[in-house]
Amino acid sequence: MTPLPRDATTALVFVPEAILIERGCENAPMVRRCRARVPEVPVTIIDDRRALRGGDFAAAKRRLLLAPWRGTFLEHCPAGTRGMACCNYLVLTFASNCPMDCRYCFLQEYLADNPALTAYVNPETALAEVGRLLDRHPERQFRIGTGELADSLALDPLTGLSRELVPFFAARRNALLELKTKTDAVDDLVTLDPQGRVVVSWSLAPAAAVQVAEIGTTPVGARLAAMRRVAAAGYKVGVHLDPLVEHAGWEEGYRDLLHEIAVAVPVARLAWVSMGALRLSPALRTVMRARFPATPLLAGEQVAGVDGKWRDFQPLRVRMYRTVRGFVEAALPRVPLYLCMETPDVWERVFGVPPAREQALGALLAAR
Amino acid sequence: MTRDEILAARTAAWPVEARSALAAVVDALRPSAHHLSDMIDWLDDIAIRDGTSPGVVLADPDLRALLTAGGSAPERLKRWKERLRRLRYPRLVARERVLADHLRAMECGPTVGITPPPALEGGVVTVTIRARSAAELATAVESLRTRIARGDVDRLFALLDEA
Repeated sequence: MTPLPRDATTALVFVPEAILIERGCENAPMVRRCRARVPEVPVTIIDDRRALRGGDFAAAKRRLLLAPWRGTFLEHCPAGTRGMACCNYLVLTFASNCPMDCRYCFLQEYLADNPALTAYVNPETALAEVGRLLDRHPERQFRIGTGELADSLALDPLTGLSRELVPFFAARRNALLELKTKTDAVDDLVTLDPQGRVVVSWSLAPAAAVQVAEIGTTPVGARLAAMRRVAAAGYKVGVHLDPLVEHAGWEEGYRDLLHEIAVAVPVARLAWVSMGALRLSPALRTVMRARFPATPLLAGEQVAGVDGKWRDFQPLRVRMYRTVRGFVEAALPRVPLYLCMETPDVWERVFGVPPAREQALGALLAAR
Repeated sequence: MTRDEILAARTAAWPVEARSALAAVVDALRPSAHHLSDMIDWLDDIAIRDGTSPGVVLADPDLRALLTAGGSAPERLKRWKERLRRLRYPRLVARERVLADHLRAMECGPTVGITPPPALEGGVVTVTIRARSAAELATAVESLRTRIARGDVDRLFALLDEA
């Protein structure tokens, strides 16, 4: 990844080594924006993306494919599966893969053979699909996020996607858009008025954990500064302490981090905080061993859970959740806190009550 | 993958002495490919955690002694893996031992079994009662009732709760 100098309007988090454009969409607005923002990057027009060869996951992250998505954009969040408590969240996919390279990222397994970081150039089709859903259920409150298969903002300085998303959701009364990121790419966002319908969320961890686990991400201090900017611009802010990473000094690390968040953002602007354990599927562990054999993330006391994913053994992660919950409640009083991809049993041990039914939990969070 | 393929693929980056030490373990214990993968995973994990080499882990005196201990190869393999698991999961195994000690101290009797969840995941214990008559069943139930009343079962669940 080649760093570019920042300017006042466009913070480029990522500059691809090459841009591939599927024939037929050369004149799509997003394609034109990308090319205009990095005119020095070589461009190749391809006939069919299916002819591209993958296999080198790291190399795939460095080339950007611009192509339309022809399937369904909206899906239910995969966290609500196999014995896990669910918060009734919808995932909206505008891109696939990520220029950052977090050691624990499930995309290493899920997109192992993908040939390129792909941005879908037809967001208008996606928003039409969302609009139909919202119109069909005006009585329901939806929470919709774009950060499942890609960081929500890492490509924004190239694609300008937020300029289409934010006005769309700002005009809707029954949906909340969540943009989830580990970057500080908020320069476009802060020029837009979200009308209270957009939450910008940051995945955060103590700097010591970021150093070993979140390679290529924006430093925590810069993320907090970006958080402050979007809060001042009228956005709600979300915090995801996910994954919680046990490391030397983790208790002080999370306590200090929560304090820094409280300093950066008025509590009234915080929509929610989530916590989640480091969780690794067996296939992901295999990929991590091959790509990062020295990563300490594999050396924790992790065991297989009910969904087949490996997490720190339950009494240990319950202690971590309770400890961090205490820090959250002290620093960010009355901000809703929930667990992601956890069993109802762990939820009850951490909060003293069973998780709300998914509709109720989703509505509680959507109402923030 | 066969054992040889696993050894070749997974230990290529190990120091020579570590590979030799593992070869001796494989000769002595004849693990299946599945067990061998576990063993290499754990050796790598311990080495990363402790900032050492798999060879140093394999030099553990207990592990070495178990290679030539009595019993069949499968029995020695089981005990060898248990020892390696203690090194790999020190806090989990310590908690499991405290639980086992507590269950022994509860002395529920031969007809009552209380089994913690595997790897302490899920927080649910399994209680079994074996009875050949109503009287035996009543005795077992009374044994459990007594232990609940004196707080033994609360303590059991507390041990499953937080580490």
